[in-house]
Formats: sequence, structure tokens, C-alpha cells
Amino acid sequence: MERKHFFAKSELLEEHSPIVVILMISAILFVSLLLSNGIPTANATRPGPYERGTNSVKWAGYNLHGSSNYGGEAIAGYIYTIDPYINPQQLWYHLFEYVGLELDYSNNYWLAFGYSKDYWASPSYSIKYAFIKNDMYTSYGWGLSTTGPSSGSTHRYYLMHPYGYDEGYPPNYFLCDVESNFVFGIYLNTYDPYCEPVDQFACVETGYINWALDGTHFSGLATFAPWRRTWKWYPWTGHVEYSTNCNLWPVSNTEFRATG
Amino acid sequence: MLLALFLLAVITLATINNLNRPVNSDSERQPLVSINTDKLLWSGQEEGETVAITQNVVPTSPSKRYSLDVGLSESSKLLNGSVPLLPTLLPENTKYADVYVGPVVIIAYSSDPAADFRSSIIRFAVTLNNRGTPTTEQLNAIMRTGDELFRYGDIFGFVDPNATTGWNDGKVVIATFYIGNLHYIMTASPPVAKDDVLSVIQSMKP
Repeated sequence: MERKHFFAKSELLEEHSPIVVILMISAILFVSLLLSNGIPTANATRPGPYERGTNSVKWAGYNLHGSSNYGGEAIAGYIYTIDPYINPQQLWYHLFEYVGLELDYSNNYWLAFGYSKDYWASPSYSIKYAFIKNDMYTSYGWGLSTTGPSSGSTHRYYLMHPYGYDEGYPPNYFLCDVESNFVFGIYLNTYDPYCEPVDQFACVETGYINWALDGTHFSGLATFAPWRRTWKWYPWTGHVEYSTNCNLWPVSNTEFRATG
Repeated sequence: MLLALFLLAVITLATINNLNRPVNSDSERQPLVSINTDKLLWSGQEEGETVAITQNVVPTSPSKRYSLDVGLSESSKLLNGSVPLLPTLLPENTKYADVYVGPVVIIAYSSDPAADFRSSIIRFAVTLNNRGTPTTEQLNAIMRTGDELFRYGDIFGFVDPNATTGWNDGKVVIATFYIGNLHYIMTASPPVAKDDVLSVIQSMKP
């Protein structure tokens, strides 16, 4: 039996015209170029609404605005679960309600934890616990849990930096709990070897202007900090308000609602 | 046929090479010069004006912006009485110096009036060093390939020449270092290079 060689010049040229060969090689080179630049995956970064500067998002919330360069080592808050109608044909669109820690104000590194209604959930647009982070390695890295809160329920979300309280943990480790249940353990890297938070926030956002966030309700916002050598949860004693393309309804330093 | 393949390969390789090219070339680098801080302008209209970054999906606390002298005085209130050191060498095109006092203190230098600190050539975010200066091992734990440790007298830290911020503004040089009870994170935008950053840090004086 005659042995064939894939790269045999005669076969390649005899079976295809030069133009076809050039097109085939161009296609191979194009695919190689794509691969060299990376192909986006569901667990990497995503474009679209999460990008800064987009006009299609709406969001509302509070910042603690930490003073004396200390944002507290953890944040906790009650979040009511809403389940707005969405158009499932729109990729990338999402609703996300979260509490968060600002780690590097100058370079915009932070971590947020809460629940989302998102195309990438399984099944798509089901409500799941979620985190999103920005750090020295990852631009808008995110993750979804396989579980989530039910519509109409209220849960207490905790985002904690345990190293600040107990140095038995790595400094770049963050813990996400709902009530006392573990949801995520996240490593986040900044140019501070101690990863000390400098501020805290609580926020609702949608990636599409037509998604309603009516019913949004945050309450019991608290920071975990030492005072007179005792570590405790303290209610927020101040806040800064934010809203874009929707309405924020402040109730107190620790509670707000949003509509729109 | 072979000539066509060769040309195609050359064009493709040139395209790939162009995609990987740094945004700014060395020819655009500005020399470092001694800066008379008295002659620097500031970007604001009124001392203590509020500057908020609104184009961000995660809420960012606003800062109050001041001119350099007033800002240093205001920042010392946030830093338990400490006043940040300032560089005496800066890129030649530096014309503006602004101080932002918010969750942290940011001293930002720019060539044009700045909407906020993100458009700076060089900026220093300064916080209290609550936990003490880290050890070499602690810094090594967060350093990446290409990062470089440095120690200039009392100044100790490392520089990352291939850093990115969370503002999606391309590659920058970031140095993190400690002087006394203050922690500095310096962010330098192209064409400021790693060697420039190290020279600027060495020039820091009270």
C-alpha cells in the first residue's frame, strides 16, 4: 500500500488551486492569531456592561467612605432578593446586588459579593450567589455559585478579610458567607502585602437600561472593626450616595431602597 | 506561489508584532528634571472641591481636591499628622499637581488639567502603614516575574514594570514602598518607564 504524506507538495497543489491554498493558510494563520490573543471564556473576563464608561448600566448604592485610611476588615448587610423580568435574548445582561470592599482606591482594585441574575448562570438567568473582583491579575473576574437565594427572600451577606482579625489566614484571602454558610473563598492580590480594605460599598446594578430594579432593599449595613481592643460588628455611621439612571431612596446610614 | 505564501507570512508576522508593540516608544519619554513645586499649577477651581468618578460600575467614594500646599496640610489630618514626602525629580512635561483627599490621599502630577487622578502621569496613593514595614519575604510573596525589589536608605519596596490598574487604561508601572509610618503606591503611565520610577522614588524628600 502506498504511503501518503500529509505535506506532500504534489497532492496539496494538485487538489486545490493556489488561491484556495492561500485562503486555507490564511485561515490557519488567522486562527493562530486568535489563539495567541486568547479566547474569552465564561470564567475569565467579560466585555460589555461591566466595562467602565458604558451608558447602558444603571446602579444605585452607598459607600461607607472610610476615614483614617481604614475601611474595616469586613462588611455585612441584608439584601432582599428581587427577580425582575428580563429579555433572555440579550447576552451579557445581568442584575447584581452586592456588598463590597475597596482594596486599592487609586488603582481600582476591589471585591464584591452578593447575588446575580445572569446569562451565564445555569440555567441561564436563574438567581445565583456571585462575586466579581478587580485586582492586579484580573480585570473584572467573576464567579457564580450553583446555589442562590429564592425570589422574595432576605439574607445577610458577609464579605470578610479574616487576616485582619486572625493572621492564621493568608492576607490575600477573602471569605464570602450567607448567614453562616460558606459560599466562596477568594484570593485577591493587590500591591499591599496586607490587603487592607480602604472603603466599603453596597450596591445594585443592572447591565441593561430596561431591566427594572424595583424592590431593591439593603439594610443592616455593618463594618467589622476593632474598638478598644474588641472586634465587633458596628453599624455604618455615615454614607455617600450613588445613583445612575435610577432612583435611590435613602432610609438611614445602614439602609436604602432603589427603584427604576 | 511560494512568493505569495512568503509575503502572506511576512504580513501576518508584522501584524502580530504590531499588536504586541508597546503603546509608547522610548522616543516619547520625557527626561526627568528638578521641579520647582511653587511653579506647578493645579487642576481645580476651588480648594476642597468634590471630585467623583462616576463612570465606574462599582461605586467609588468621592475625594476632595486641593492644590499641593493646601492638600498636604489636609492630608496630614488623615495621616495622623504625617506629611507625605514629595519627589524632587519629575518628567519634564509635568505642569500640574493636585492632592485628592478621600478614603486615601492621592498626590497626582499631570501635564494637563486633570478631571480626576486617573489622567495623571505619576500619582502616589498614601496610606498609614498600620502594620509596619513588611519583610522581604512578605513582598516576595506578592511579587511577579520581572518585579524588582529596591532599598534606598529608609525607602523599601518593589516595582512592577508590567502592571495594570482596574481602570482598563493599559500597561502602567506600579511601585509599592514604605517610608516611616506611611505606605506609598506609585502609579506611572507610559511613557514613564521603570528606571524613571526608581529615579523619582530616590528623589523623594520632605
